[in-house]
Amino acid sequence: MLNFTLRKLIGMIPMLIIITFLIYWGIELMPGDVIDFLIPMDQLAEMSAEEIAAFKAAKGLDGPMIVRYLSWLKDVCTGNLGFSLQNNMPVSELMMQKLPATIELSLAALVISTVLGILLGVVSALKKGKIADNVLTVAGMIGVAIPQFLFGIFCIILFCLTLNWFPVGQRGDGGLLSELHHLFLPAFVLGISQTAGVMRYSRSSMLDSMNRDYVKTARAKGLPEWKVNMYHGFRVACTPVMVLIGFRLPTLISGAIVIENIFQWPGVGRWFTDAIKTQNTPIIMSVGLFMVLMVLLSSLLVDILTAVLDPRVKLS
Amino acid sequence: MSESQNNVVLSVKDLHVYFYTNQRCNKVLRGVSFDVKRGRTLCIVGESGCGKSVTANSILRLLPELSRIEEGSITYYKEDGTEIRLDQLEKNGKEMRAIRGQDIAIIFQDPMTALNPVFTVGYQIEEMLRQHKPGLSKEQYKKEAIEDLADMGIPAPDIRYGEYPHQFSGGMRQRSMIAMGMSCDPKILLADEPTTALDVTISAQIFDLMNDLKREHDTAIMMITHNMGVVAEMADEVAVMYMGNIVEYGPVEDIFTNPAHPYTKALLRSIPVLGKGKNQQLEPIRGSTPDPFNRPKGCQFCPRCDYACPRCEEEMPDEEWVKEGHYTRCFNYREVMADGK
Repeated sequence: MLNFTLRKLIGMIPMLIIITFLIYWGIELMPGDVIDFLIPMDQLAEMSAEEIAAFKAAKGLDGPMIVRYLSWLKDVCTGNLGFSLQNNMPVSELMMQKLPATIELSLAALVISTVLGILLGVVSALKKGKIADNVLTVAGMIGVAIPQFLFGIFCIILFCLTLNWFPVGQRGDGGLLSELHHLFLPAFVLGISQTAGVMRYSRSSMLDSMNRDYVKTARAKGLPEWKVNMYHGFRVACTPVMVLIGFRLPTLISGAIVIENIFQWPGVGRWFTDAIKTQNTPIIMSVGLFMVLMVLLSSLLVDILTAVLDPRVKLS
Repeated sequence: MSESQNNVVLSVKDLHVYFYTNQRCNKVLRGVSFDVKRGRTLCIVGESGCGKSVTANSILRLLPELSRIEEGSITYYKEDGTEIRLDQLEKNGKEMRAIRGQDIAIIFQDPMTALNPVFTVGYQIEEMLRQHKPGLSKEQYKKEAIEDLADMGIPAPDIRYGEYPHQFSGGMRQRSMIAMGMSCDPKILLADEPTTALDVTISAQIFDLMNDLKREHDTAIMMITHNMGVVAEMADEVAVMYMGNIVEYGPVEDIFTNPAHPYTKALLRSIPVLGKGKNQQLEPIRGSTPDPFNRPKGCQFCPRCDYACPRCEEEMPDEEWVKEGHYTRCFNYREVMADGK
């Protein structure tokens, strides 16, 4: 297991380099000049070409792309994520400010979607063809089809503006109750949009498991139905569901981008989109690196989880 | 039936089971009657889809949701003399569950899929013990499970106890299934094509094992198969099924030497005989099995039968007693029997 994990981790290094390079290239291809965002229009108009070149050189914005990328890579390897072009703050420090909010939001959404998704999926499978199943299926379809931002805005209008149950956006001010009060709605919206998928998947996985012969064997042993369903049906069904959830961990962060923008949530996502709008390369690269790492680590986690849950799978 | 009742542990009478799919009704069992006796083996033979497995599953009430026992009775005679109508019990209710595993155990066709892949074999046997013999200590359960495995001739049972089904070979898995089935000393063992998925040498071992169990524990065995060779080797009584009916029922010698139903006769003629060389003429049964949704009006075998008469097309023959313990569903059975083999 340790051996496997180490080998996987080492295997990630070339992938990280390739993907970050592609992101860097992507930023390079964006239309517009970063200088437009750094110096106000009227000032820029008065500057000479030399002055602009000097300014760029001071910021490390000149030279061929590959050289700049390699110097970024070197800095990252030494633990330096660079400085924001906008305000010269170290990116790592800014990241530490933003990250807790995003993790808090994502974790809450993950808990909501996992618990609710599996629970409703299993209920739906066990009540197959009955009213409960049909209602959940329709709800699931709507859940999958409705865009997050639309659902988010709808919830804000209903729960914040009309009913006044929740504050519109921002994080709480330290107290646990206030934190939860602020967290609930964005986490709910993010969680619900993921729940539909988990639910549909749990349902089909559970149905598949319940149709297997071992479930009949379990019944033939005289086990009560709840044991047949939970020990035999669900235990096997939960492996693919866990894999799905594992692979979705990264989408939780990217999904958070939309939700953070709608709910004015001061997390990585909103910061990231702001950085893209102003071509703030060090920030885009750092967040990009973080997301790529999340994807790769999630897939490693999925591998390990599968081996733990299914005795037939051996890590090698 | 004229056979003395005291040895009968399970009696199925005029069993009708219908399946409902897409607003259509498939009359899978259309009046099936037989007795299972202590220390005897009843073999049910027939081609795929004739209702053999449905019969076994109806006894344990393991039928799928969209099916129903419409008519008839399944009676289980307990050792203390009480009779239990299995067909009237609640499907997954407490009484039915108490009988499953404890009194009547079942072994399924494919040992590859009948064991749960994520639990150890030991745990799956223990689960049965825990259900029916509550109150033992952890060590006792483990000891019993290991003993059960050892009884089935599984080498190194204490190591095998902690292994998963995928680490077992097919034969070993089927042995574990039988170990599981026999762990609570059931009175009846239902075996639903227990060796179809196994190769011949392993099958022979499994059959030996079942015969030993029958001798030692006086277990009644009801075995489902489509293999006439297995029937010859294992059966005391044979029930031949065709399209949801038992068309012939009787002692194994009678069925083989003097079949009274054209279908049985045709079945026997279609078996290759070892040693006859490649020149032997195999006679397949002509025609094919009718569509269950579009059945013949009268005798189900009529369109494929050499002895068919106009009456056969109109009505299904009733059970006619050829002699004590041997019945057939054929109007012309005298002609069939007189025809020789």
